[in-house]
Amino acid sequence: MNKTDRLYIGITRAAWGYFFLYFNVDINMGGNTVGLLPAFVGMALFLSAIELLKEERRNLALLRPFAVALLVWYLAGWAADIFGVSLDTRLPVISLLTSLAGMYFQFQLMTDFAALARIYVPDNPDLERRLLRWRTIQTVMLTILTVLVYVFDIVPEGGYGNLVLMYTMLGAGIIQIIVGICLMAALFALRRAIGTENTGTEQ
Amino acid sequence: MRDIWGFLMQTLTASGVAVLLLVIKAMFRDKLSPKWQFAVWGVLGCVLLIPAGAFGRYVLVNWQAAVETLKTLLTGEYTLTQVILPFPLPVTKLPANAAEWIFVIYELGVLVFLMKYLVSYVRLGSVLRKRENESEGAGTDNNYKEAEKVRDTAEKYSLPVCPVVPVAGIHSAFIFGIFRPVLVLPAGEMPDEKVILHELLHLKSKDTLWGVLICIFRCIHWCNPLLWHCADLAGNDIEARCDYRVLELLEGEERRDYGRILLSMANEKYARMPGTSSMANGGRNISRRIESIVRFKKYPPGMALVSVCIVMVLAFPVLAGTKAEVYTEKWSEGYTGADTGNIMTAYAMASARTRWCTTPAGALDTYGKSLLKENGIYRAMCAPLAMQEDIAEEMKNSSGWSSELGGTANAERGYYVYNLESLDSDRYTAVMIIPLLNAAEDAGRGGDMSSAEKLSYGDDLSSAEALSGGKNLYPEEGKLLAAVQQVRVEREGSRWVVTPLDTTEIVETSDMAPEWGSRAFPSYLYTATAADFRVDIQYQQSFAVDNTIVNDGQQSLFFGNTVTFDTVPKPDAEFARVYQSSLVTCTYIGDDAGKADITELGITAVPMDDPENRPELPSVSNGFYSSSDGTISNSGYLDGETDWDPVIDMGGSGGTAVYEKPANKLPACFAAELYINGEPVAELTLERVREK
Repeated sequence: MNKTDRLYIGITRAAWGYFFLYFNVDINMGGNTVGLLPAFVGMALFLSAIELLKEERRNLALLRPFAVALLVWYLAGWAADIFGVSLDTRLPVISLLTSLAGMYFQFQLMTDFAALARIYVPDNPDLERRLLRWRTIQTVMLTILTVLVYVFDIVPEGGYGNLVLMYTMLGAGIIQIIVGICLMAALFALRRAIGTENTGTEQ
Repeated sequence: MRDIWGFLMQTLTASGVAVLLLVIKAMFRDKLSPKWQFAVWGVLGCVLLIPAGAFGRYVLVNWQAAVETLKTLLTGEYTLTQVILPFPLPVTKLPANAAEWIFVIYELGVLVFLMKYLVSYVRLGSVLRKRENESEGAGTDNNYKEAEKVRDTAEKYSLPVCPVVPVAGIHSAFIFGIFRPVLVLPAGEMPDEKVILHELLHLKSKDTLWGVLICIFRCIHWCNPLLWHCADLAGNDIEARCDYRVLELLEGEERRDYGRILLSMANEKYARMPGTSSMANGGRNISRRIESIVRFKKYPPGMALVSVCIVMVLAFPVLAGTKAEVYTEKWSEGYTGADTGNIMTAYAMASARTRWCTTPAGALDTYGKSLLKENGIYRAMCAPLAMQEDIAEEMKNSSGWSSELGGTANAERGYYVYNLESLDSDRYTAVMIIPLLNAAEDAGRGGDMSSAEKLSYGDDLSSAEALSGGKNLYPEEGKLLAAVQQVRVEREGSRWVVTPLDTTEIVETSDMAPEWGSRAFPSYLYTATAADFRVDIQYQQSFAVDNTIVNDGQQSLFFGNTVTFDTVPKPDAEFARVYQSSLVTCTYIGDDAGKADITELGITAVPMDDPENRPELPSVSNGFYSSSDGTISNSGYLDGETDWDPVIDMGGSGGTAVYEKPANKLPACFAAELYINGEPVAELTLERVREK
């Protein structure tokens, strides 16, 4: 596998990783919920992308421990969901740690992809800026959503504040899905640009 | 902190956060900047400043329940320790037990450490002030040159400047003082510009102030080695942050020089002192700092964003805490203290005390459900502290805590709160009504007739049928047996608690929607007399918390989702709805001869808020009419010439509304008009004569 193939496949896997991270479809089987697009598959794709791209961007290798930890957490959470157990509720401290790790992981991963864009698509600085912009928005949205979950715990049940908070969370969730789509689109644009640049170079 | 238990809660809470921070700092050691590494200690600083268990919330681990359990096991007390301030308050009375003696020893420790640091600070301050005066008087060339170099360095890097005090016998420079800081330099040596830069950066960041704050925390938590370790690490992080800032301002060879300067300080002795910041902080720490210099990299601007976001996501759950939950796992399955042992009983009681009711509605909801589920833990949540020991003792029996309702509660029906009345802002009275299973239902639900025999109702329920010897009464068809109890709801510190005011009375009432009022339940009585009739209106209010559980998974094709009553207490609940009902009775009080002239009786009644402003009453209706504003109108022929029952039920009206405080606003009186044989005979004003 040459460098272009590695870049192409690595970026593709990362883009599809976001698909699994941001989208979910649950089915009910005998009263238990089974996620059909589990987040751990997304983490496995990210991990695979890191393995492919770590030689192109050494910083990516630093994310490997986080990716493995998050993969294990998401896998455990998916399995626990099937049995009707919420790991976030049962293990709040671990949940908090993985939230922090996840936030840093997402931020650094996109920073590294932006750096790859700068290196391999030097003629298109807009692409790097686009990746960094969506990275920043993603980080802010992740923070807002996580904080909102904790605020939800403080606001008394059944009040007006509770209602406002629910709609705010719904709105933030929708924005986050849009951000996920934009991140995927930016990564696919990077993949396309790298393919084009390389084809040009080879010719 | 007023006792050793309060201190334990505070220091354990901080320790939990300290462990979390150590893990998080290890996770991000080489990923986030030294500025972040120091700033994140601010979360621990805030936790140390917030009283543990404030607002009934805990941080990471419910230390309050653990400390309360320990207290109960060691002392047998069922009190509730609440930390009002995050520092120890002076002892005001002689210690009476071991726990109080330990607290006195702890406070003496705090004093010793405070004095130690204060004395060293004052002594150093006075020595430096003396040296400052001497050097100003001497005015040697060397002193001027040192001060000039400091000024030049400050100007070059746009940093604040402070007086310079040369002191003989010290090895490295440091900043001293909070309010009027000075830069102390080794006398006779011209310091390197990078050393001055380091110290001026400390001055700019007011690091001496942080040092004092850390010292205060050391004094308060002098017996907690984990927090002392964190204080050491925070001190090191201040230096590392300063190194990083220096390296940001230096280039190439200058950075290596800076490392060499640090290396030269590796063997110097150092003592942590409040109000100082010294570049030399011990050989081991300096070797770590040199490693950091070797690895030095400038963090990209975007890192600031994720650093702030990570602190926010970390700080919010840590500072806001988690609402305590009650340990009911065993007790909800019918276990008792006899099954679970002393420790589990003490823990369950402690968890109940620490998950207190924050509203009167929450306290009544919890009390109602404790009766419905015969659950001592629920009862402990809303019981005054004085009752906790008795509840715990009952729970330790094989039969467990008893609600003493006189029957088996019908938990599926829920409970009813009637006639909630505010005595003042901290006290209410109310009537708690618990529907009971009748004997057949009780036996049919897995109970046996012996459990049904627990039902022991009074002889006054003549309509009920006795199975044997006046016991095991079945209510009539369409009737409901209910336990009725007067209760007081009051504030006890931060807790709202419920105290029964009398023993439970069993009544029989209609099985139809008991929230809409019943003549069998206590009521406010309004009365007036005219034309040989006494008119009584029983006015009732019932208050409901939303306890509906919609079962999504059990849909019926015709009736939609099934709905059940939520039997889990809601200690923070507010009432959702209030129901009002007025039931009218006319009683003939004249002689029998007068009865012959009366063939038809009618009445209209309207509640009045202002006795001076009598409303216009509607004409009596032909038949029964009522509206949700409380208007009642009814008329009818009396059955029989003179032998009609002198007590005539004229029906009632009711209304419901969303609950709004104050909810127990009662009508001042009722305006009524009595009709006999179709003609108005008297205008009445019904005054309230009985509270309940």
